[in-house]
Amino acid sequence: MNDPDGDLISRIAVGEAGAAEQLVRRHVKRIHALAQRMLNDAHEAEDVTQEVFLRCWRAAPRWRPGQAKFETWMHRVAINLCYDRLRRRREKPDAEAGMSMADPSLGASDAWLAAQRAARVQAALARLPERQRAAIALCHFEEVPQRDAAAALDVSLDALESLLARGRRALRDALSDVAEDLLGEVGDGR
Amino acid sequence: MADEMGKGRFEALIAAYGADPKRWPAEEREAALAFAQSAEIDLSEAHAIDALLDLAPAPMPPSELLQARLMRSLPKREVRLAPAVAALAACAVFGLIVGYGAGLNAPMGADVDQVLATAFDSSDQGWIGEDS
Repeated sequence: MNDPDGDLISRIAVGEAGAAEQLVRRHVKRIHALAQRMLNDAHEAEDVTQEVFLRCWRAAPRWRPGQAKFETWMHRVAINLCYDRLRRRREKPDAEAGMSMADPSLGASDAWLAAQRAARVQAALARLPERQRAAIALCHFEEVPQRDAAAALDVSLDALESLLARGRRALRDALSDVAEDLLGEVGDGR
Repeated sequence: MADEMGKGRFEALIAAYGADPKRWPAEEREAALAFAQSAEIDLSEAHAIDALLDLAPAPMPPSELLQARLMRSLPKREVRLAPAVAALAACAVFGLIVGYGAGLNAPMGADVDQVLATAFDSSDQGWIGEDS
């Protein structure tokens, strides 16, 4: 198996700080985004991201290349840390207090409508079962290849597709009015 | 899964991955695209769910503070130097012990003259007492 991070990991294992810095630059955004999609909280996502990298430093000397991609292992660690935190919360994630919008100063009606829709989609995603949310975060938002996503979630490809299909269907059902509008827009766009 | 692309498989594909071919499994993409062009398949529902998902707000980028914290947590080179540092420290401790032990055994005060006197042989006595 060709692991794009293989060389970096072996250099980190012998204490090369530059290699570790490269690994951070290469993966920090995706790990942080994945944790944020799962937890709906940017600060908690930062804690998870930090823990993932601390585990990377510890794991590097023991890493056996050829069995899995290191990035897949990082995704699995991140998702498991998110599952732990969600379990500890024992409550549904608060979508209202979740991720900040890219532009908080929306005034025009189109922009207001877009913000409302975004908030509803975010809330609906937050209500999905954890594993469906993780599958959608990996495959739709982060565009992780299917096999890697399945490995990160520790499921078969069939199970991954089932999680994705159920998640997408649930989202469509929860937001049927928005979906109808979008269906109209899709139709108009043809 | 990549063996055959029939209607059932194609529908399962878009139900899971949506209407955008870039998200379809690479090994099935070509067959799925060919199937989509040859068959009457309505992709509008899958497009609408893709569009719903794309309405979700983009995650905040990681803060500068986080990146600084990660840099501070980088493995230190000192870890590899640990054996050398330990050896140096051991040498220093050994030196201290030897020095301290020698100090304990060293003659004190009035004995110094006696030691010095015995440090020379009889020929030096004459030289030392030359003035007398």
